[in-house]
Order: sequence, then C-alpha cells, then structure tokens
Amino acid sequence: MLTKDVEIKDEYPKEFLLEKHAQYLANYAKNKDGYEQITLEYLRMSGIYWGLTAMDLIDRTSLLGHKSEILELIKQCQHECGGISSSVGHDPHILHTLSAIQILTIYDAINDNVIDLNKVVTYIKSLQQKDGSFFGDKWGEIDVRFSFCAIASLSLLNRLHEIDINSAISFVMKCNNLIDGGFGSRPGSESHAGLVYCALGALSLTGQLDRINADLLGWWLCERQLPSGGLNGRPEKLPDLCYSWWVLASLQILGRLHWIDRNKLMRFITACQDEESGGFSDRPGNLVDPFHTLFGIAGISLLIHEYGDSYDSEATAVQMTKLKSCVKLINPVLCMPQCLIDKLNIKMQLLKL
Amino acid sequence: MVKLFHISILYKHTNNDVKALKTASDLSSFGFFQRNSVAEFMNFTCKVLIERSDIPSRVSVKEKDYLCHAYLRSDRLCAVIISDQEYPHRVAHTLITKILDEFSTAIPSSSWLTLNENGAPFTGLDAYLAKYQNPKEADAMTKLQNDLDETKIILHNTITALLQRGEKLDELVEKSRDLSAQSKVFYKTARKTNQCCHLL
Amino acid sequence: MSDSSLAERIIHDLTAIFNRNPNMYSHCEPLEFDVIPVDCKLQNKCPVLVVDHRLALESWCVQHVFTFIYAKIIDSRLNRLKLANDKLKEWTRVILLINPDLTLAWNIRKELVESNCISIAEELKLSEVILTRKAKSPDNFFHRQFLLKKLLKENIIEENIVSNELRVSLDAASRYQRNYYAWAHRIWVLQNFGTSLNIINFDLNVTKHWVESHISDYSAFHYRQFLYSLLLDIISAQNNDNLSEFVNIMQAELDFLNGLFAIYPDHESLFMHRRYILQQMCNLFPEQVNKVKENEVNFIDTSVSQSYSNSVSNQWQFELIRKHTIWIKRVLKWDLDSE
Repeated sequence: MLTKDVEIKDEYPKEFLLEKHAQYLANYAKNKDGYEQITLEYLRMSGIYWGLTAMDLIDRTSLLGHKSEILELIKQCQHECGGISSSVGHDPHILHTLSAIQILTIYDAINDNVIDLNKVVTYIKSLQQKDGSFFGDKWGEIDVRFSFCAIASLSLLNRLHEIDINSAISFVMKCNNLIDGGFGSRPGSESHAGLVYCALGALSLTGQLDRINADLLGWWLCERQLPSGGLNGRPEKLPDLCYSWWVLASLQILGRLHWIDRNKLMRFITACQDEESGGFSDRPGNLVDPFHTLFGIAGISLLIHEYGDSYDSEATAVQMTKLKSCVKLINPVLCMPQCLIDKLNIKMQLLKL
Repeated sequence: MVKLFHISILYKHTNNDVKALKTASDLSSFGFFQRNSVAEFMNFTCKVLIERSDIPSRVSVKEKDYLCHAYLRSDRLCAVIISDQEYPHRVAHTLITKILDEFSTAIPSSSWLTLNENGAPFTGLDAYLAKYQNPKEADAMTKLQNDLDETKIILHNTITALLQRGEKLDELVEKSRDLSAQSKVFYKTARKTNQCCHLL
Repeated sequence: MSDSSLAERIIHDLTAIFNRNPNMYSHCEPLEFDVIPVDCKLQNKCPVLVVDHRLALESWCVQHVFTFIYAKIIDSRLNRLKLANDKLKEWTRVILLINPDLTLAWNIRKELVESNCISIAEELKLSEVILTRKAKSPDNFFHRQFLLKKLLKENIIEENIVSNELRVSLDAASRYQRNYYAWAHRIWVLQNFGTSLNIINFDLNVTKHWVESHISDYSAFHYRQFLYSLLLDIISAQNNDNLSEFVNIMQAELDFLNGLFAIYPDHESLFMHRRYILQQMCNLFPEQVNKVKENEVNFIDTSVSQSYSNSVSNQWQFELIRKHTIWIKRVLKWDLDSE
C-alpha cells in the first residue's frame, strides 16, 4: 500500500485498441486551432513526429492525409542558419531539427528538396563544442539529449562523419555514472532512464557500446519495473508509460530486454489506454496525448517482436501473434519503423547477451 | 516529504453525525492561494472518513500523495491525522492514541456531546503538530507503545474505496456545506491533471 | 470588453505590480505566483489578485491573455509587427508566468538581456517568481544558467550569487518532489562557480537535514554523492596516501543512513544511497572489505526479520532487500550464501 505505484484495476482496458488509436491520432492532427493546440505549438514538430510514427507503426498513415501540408510546414520552419523550429515563428532547435528529419524520412521525402540538407548539417556542426558536447541551440544549453539528436540526425542523413565523433562520444561517456551504470543529462548529474536511452542511442550509432558496463546498467534499468508492471525513470518515481519506451529500448540496445517481466508490463501498457477516446496516457485513468500514444505503441512493438516466443499461456500466445501481424517492428535506437531503417541501411550496434 | 499536515479530534454521534472538537493544521508547504481550500478539504476528508468507519477501529487511507490515519474509540471519541505519504504510519497511529488519551483526561467525556464545533478548550494540538514533524521525536514514544497491533489496521487505497454503495465522491463534494465554492472549483480542476513529460 | 482590451488591461495591471520597486528586495517580489481555478460563471471582478505580497491570476482569463500575447510575439518574430522592447518585455513576462515551457519567450528575453533592456538581477528574480508555480521547468533553469554565465563572463562574482542559487534550487526542490532540474542546477552552480571546503561542508549539512524530511528524494541523495566526490578530490589532492579521513566520512554517512533505515525501512532511495557508500568503501579501502561485508550481512538479516514482523509494508521492503542482495552479488561479487 505504501509503495509508490499505481493500482491496475480490472476495469481498465486489456485489449490493444488499434482502430481507436488511429482515430484519436487522425482527429488530433486535424484539430489545429484549439487553445490547447496553440499552447503546444512550442513542440509541434515533435508532436507531428509522434503522431506520424505511431500511425506508421499501426499502418494507418493514410488517415492523416496531410503530407503536403506537413512538408510545407517543415520548409517554412527551416531558418537561415539551417536549423528547424517547432513551428512557424519559433526559433530553431536541435530537438525539432531531428523531428523534422524523422518526419521527412518516414514520408520518404528527405531528398525532395523540402529543406536544404547542407544547411542542416552546417547547423548541427556549429552546435558542437570543443569538449564534444552539443548545444541545443545558439543559446548554449548542454545536455546529452542534444548529443543524441545530433548523432541521430546525421545518421539519418548518412553524414555522421561531418562531426567530431570521438569527442562527441567522450562527452557522452562523461555523463556516465559508475555507481549504477546509468547516464545523466550532464557530467555529474543523476542517472535518468530517458537520458540513458539518449546516451545508448549515441553509442549505438557510433559503434561504441563496448565502453559501458551493460550488466550494471541493465540491472538498474530492470529495477525500474514496479509491482504494477509499469516502469519509472528514476528511483521512487511513479510509473509512466513513456518509460515503457525509454527503458525497453535501452534494454533492447543492451540485448537484455528479457530482464523485464513482459506480461506485467503489457498489462500496464494496455491499462493506460482510453477506451472511449483512444490514445494512451502516462498512467491508467489520466488524459491521453500523442506523446504517450507513440510510446505505448512503441513499447508494445518491442515486447511482441523482440522478447522471444515463450509465453505463459496459450491465450497470451494467441494475443501476441495477433498483435505481431498488426503492429510493425520498431527500431530501438531511432524510434522509427525498422523497415525504413533497413531500407536506408543505417548502421548501428546492438549488444547480445 | 515527511510531513504532518493536520490533526483532528472528532466526536461521532450515535446517529453517525460527526463533529470536530479540535483541529490543528500546518499548511506551509502548500501554495499560498491554495491553503484555504486545502484546509477545508482536510476537514471534509476527516469527516467523510470517520462517518464511514466503524466504532471501534483503526483505519489508514491512501489518497494520492496523502495518508489519512484514523482511530475511532469505543467511547465515540475519534482522531484523524493527515500526513504526507512518507510519514511513518506507525508513528502516526501511536501519536493519535496518545493524543486521544490526553484529550479524554483533559476534557470530561460528559461534555463531548454538547461541545460546539471546534470548541473544545484543549491546548496542545499545535505543539504536537510541530514537535512530531520529525518522526525521530516519536521514537521513544513508539517504543513504549509497542502494543500497536498493525494487523488490525484497516487499509484503503483511496477515499473512494470507503464510500458506500451508490455514493460518489464528486457528489459528496458538490453537496458538502463545509466546502466553499472556490474549493469545489479547485477540486474539479485538480481531478484530472496530467503533466506531459516531454523528453524529446 | 473585447478580448484584446481585456488582455491589455490585465497585462497592464501585472506590469504595474512588477514595476513597483523592482530593486528593493533581496528575494523575489512578488513572493509567489499562482493561477486560481475560477468558474467562468463567477467572473465579475478583476482577475489579478495581490494578497500579502503574493500574486495570482484567476484561471478564466488565462486563455484570453495567452492567445493575445502569443499572436503578437509570433507576428513580431515574423516581422509582421514592430514591437518596442518595453512591450516585448512586458508581454513575455506575462506569458512566461502563464506557461514557462514557451521557449520562444525565454529566447526573446535573452535577446533583451543581451541588449541591456533587462538587468540580470531583475531577470533572476522573475525566474524565481515563475519557479514558485512551475518548479520543474527546464527552460527556466537554463535561463538562470545563461544569466549566471553572463555574470561570470563579466567577472561579477559575489559570494551571495552562489548562496542565492543554492537557496533558489532548494526552494524549487521543496515545491516539486524529486525535481531533477533543481538538483542538476545545483550541481551546475558548484561546477561553474568553483567549490571550497566551506561550501561543500555547508551544503552537506543543509542537505542532511533536507533529506531527513524528504526521504524518497533520491536526487538529493545523489547530490550528496556529488558533494562527496568533490570532497574526495580535495582530500586526495591534499594528502595522497592517507584517505583514512574519507573512510570515517563514509562510515558516518552509513551510520546516518542506518538511522534513517530504522524509521523508513522500505525506501528505494535509501537502498540506492547505501549502494554508493558500499561501493566507495570497497573501492577505496579494500583492506576494510571484510568488515564492511560483515556489517552488511547483519543489516540484511535484521531487515529481513523486520520485514516479516512489519505487516503493512513488508512486501515492498522484502522486494527491496531482495534486489539489494542481488546487486551485492552481481556488482560487489560477494558470496553471501556462504555467510
């Protein structure tokens, strides 16, 4: 009772509500003028990426039907410096630059001259500092997230060689905590599962995963699972659906996905769905949003495709097999459908136990 | 946070009506503009809890980040402590036993029935609230009172779990005369907040 | 009243409050900002409230004000509207009070600071007011770092800058539990403003009291680990061959932690901090390992028997001990079964 956790009530949804989610995301994309939409313009580019990727994973992008509009938006969001902003009138930032590249990749429009790719590369290069770290934008915030954004963006553009990879990785490794094997936002900061994901992504795309203590980190990651089955991102936090992605993807990169209790986590993830409106929320019973909707579906994708085929019951086996046929495999590093990554032939390292 | 917010001493009438005899609160950790409403909700919660618990019994209820501990004695004298989730429940239960012992010594039981709401001439509740903010203070006391039988404490995971069939918390709040209009709006707004954790 | 004149009047009222003696106080003024939920149907008075140096806005007006300012600053960003710096300053202040996640508004204010339209001291205070309502805004903490870096660059280093930051970050940590950004900011301040034995000891003392009343805030325990790493650097620089002083410090930390375990047997943060201490002891003082191990075996035995007698929380406590034991076997490579 005194544990920091949530209760999974029997009344919470158990089945994966694919069509409901498709409808939720389609409606969300159509509604652009509400007050909520205006207050969220500061992360619109990332929002589009979340919705589009989620739709692609369940093969329903056709319901969005606004490709040309999105491409036009991205075009308008590229600034003179080459960086891309969250929305028109906002300032460029590496977070939204990555989101825009991911969107263009999913739409297979990266080479359609929507944006000036040379300028994007110049922008990302300009953000790298002497110690290898990356600024998020010209104002100089440093965070291991930005190192991941830079490396992921350039990998998708197949131009990773244009930055100083050695120093970039040496900065990422400075954010590593020897105590738990995890990574914080900057050297000295506390380990945090979201930042672990970013650091591992950077190491994976540059083939440097051998530098970490995978057992120690893997153990800390699987300790994030609470009795409800949900995962938190740090000790004594409540479980949050988005960590079903950050933690699972990290474990998949480390080759230790099976250290998680799949059935309990599946129950937590499905419980976070809203039966009426569709979409996923951070915790059962809360309001849904596209961010958690993507990471709910992405988590399910890893659990059904990558965990292995040993099921506790016949019923689970049937459910998993059914899900396998309607949710695409996701790439654990770039959080995009694996088939796209294969087509682009992007290289990355994944550990095996 | 390890924090004691509120102590109430209450009397439960034979018709199940509940009257607060004395209360004390420390709401310094809440936003300035929220304190009035928080205070009203704490009083409201104490009454809901005592109204729906049996005499005699010990009850602990978790509600979001809060814990409410109640002790209802056979002589209908009751007490509730509201604390943060981290405050040790054992200390809280020992403390309410002690407070009720002291109260019943100081205030004759013959007057409980007729005292006005919040009208018991009992001092010392504020001092208890201040002193036991640090549960270490209670260490000696807890050791003395090792006879607290924790297996007898009735546990509820939410206030809603306490409600009788057909009762809804929303309706109780709406109907309550102890809650101001402002507090009711606070309640409605707070019920479904959802912080977006945008990492990327 | 039209929406835009309503919004302008509210902005005007708020601006007047902020312009009242802006430099009179060492702390921020107003002391606190909040948005009070109010039903639309009750709106019949001015939505700006000031009580006892605290400021609040009634919720029904927030949407009008936000939409009004947002449209204006986007227009100015797209050069469709020319705005005076004073207006930009007033408007971005109000919109950030309402929504501190709006990076664009922080950026505009950074430009205003660069062009000396806003003083650094004044801006640090505004950031503090905003933190009283949204204590975990990453953009806000970065804004402070931007301002502090400017102070560093201009060589304006006063003693009270560091102590002020330590106060602000602890206040934010108190307002939002396990506030990652507040503690990361505290680390940033010590990393960038230099540390001394005095500051380290002062802050070890401050956080010792603080964790006693915020037992599940692992970020604070992690911060203590950071302080100890600074301390270890200083001690080893002074005297390389004698780290015994640090052994005693770690032992004292373990004793302190054991005191907390007695009251709070089922908190993950205490177990995590324990791991840190054990690791430090084993890595730095290999000759002491047997003693440390013996104590730890006792700790585990006592905790296990306690978790059986403690009916309410035993399951989680038991789970934490189980995880702790596995961690010891895996990471410290101790063979506990033979004990």
